[in-house]
Amino acid sequence: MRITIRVVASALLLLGTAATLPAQDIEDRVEAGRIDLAVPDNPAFNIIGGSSSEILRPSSLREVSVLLGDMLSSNPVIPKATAFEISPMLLASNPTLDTYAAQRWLYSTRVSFATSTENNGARQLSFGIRISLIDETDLRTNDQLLDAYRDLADLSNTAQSKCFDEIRNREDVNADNMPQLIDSCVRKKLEIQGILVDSIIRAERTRIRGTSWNSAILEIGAAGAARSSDSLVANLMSSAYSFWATWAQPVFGPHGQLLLGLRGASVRGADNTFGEDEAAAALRCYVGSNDFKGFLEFDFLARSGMTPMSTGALGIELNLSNGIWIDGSAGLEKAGSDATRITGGVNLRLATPEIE
Amino acid sequence: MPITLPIVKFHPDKGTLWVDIAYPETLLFCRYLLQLRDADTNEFIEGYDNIRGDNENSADDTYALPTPAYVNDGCVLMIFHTIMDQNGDGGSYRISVTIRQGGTVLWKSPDTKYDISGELEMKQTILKLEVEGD
Repeated sequence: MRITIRVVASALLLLGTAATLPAQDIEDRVEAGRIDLAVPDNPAFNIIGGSSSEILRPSSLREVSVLLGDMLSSNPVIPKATAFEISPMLLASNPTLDTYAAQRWLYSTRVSFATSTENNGARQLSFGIRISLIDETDLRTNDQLLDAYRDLADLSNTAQSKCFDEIRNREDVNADNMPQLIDSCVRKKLEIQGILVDSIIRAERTRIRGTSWNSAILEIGAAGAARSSDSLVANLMSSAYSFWATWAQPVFGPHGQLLLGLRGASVRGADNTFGEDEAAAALRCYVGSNDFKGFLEFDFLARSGMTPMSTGALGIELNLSNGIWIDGSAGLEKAGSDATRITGGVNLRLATPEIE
Repeated sequence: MPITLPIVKFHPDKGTLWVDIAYPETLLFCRYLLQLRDADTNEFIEGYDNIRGDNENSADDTYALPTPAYVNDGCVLMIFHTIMDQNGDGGSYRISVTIRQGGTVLWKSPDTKYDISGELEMKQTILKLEVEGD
């Protein structure tokens, strides 16, 4: 699964969205730690400032992600913020595995919608899209996993054939109970050979997840938001645009990953024109394993009205348990002609737990 | 009483018998073993003891049974399926097996939707082939 990306995306959501943050907040954030530039899990929710604590994530691409935020804050029925994300192609069609593998980018395309109500009654609507052009961490089409499954399935099918021979002439067998008898017979046969199929499948899945943490990923996303000073649709005006791109590539065999993140945003300012632009890039190199790795990174952030700043840092990232990560880093930050400053910090990060 | 197999009737002179195997509407990994046994000796027919395939590639999973068609009289066609869950999310699957001859569908498996329970499931399609009129 997209372990690294999910971690980063969750952190981004926890931190909020730059497109809706004032410059000081961005500076504070840069000072507090690294800028994370992965495509967020729900671009539409991200651009209007949704946070990960408000997200109920889908467990699979097929499901609709429904996000409810501040549900009970002022109105017990109507949520203050709502968002959802869907994969239209998976909802509209039922692809076969080979079709899915051939057009994975199409089936992984997710669109998101979100709304929010501000304290002053202003409403925001947003639309987002993200596409995984490359995702070699997808277990459905992972060659290593499918090779292992193929071998197990061959053992299972061969054992089924033998079991059918053994039971077909038994007096107690009929068409209804034959599948159950074959299933039981196959599992016994394989168990005698030391093959506990369910355990092996789970172990193989865990192993592949562990070794594919640094697999290649290329994901892009974009979102646009509109704001109305009241609840009238006629008063909606575009208020922000954002795009994200994340590219990851394995380096040092199974022991490293190079990660590049880009983000751009344009926000309508107080003068009612689009002028608050932002561009950010981060290059990060991980070395280690999925559970424990060190990293070296360089971040760059430029924003209208703010001195561009760059940061370099060294750090470590530790997987405390499924879905919980902690990282610590120390580095240097340079903003314009200001003196170079030392930065550092420890962050706790929450990611979508992986199914074991 | 030993199990009674479904019987597929075919015409001895209407051309080759074809078997189509597919797993529509599923992202689960499905693999099969196709075998054909001789009616009298219960031995596998040469070339039909170990035909395997899966739903990972886009190649057609279509097979011609021995020709001329009448040599299949009394043979038992066995297709063993194993369905596996790649990511632990579960999911549903269908198994489609079709026997054709001369453009006519002689037999089609029931269109049943199954939900995988656990990591692996097994299913069987076992048919007896008989010449019409026997």
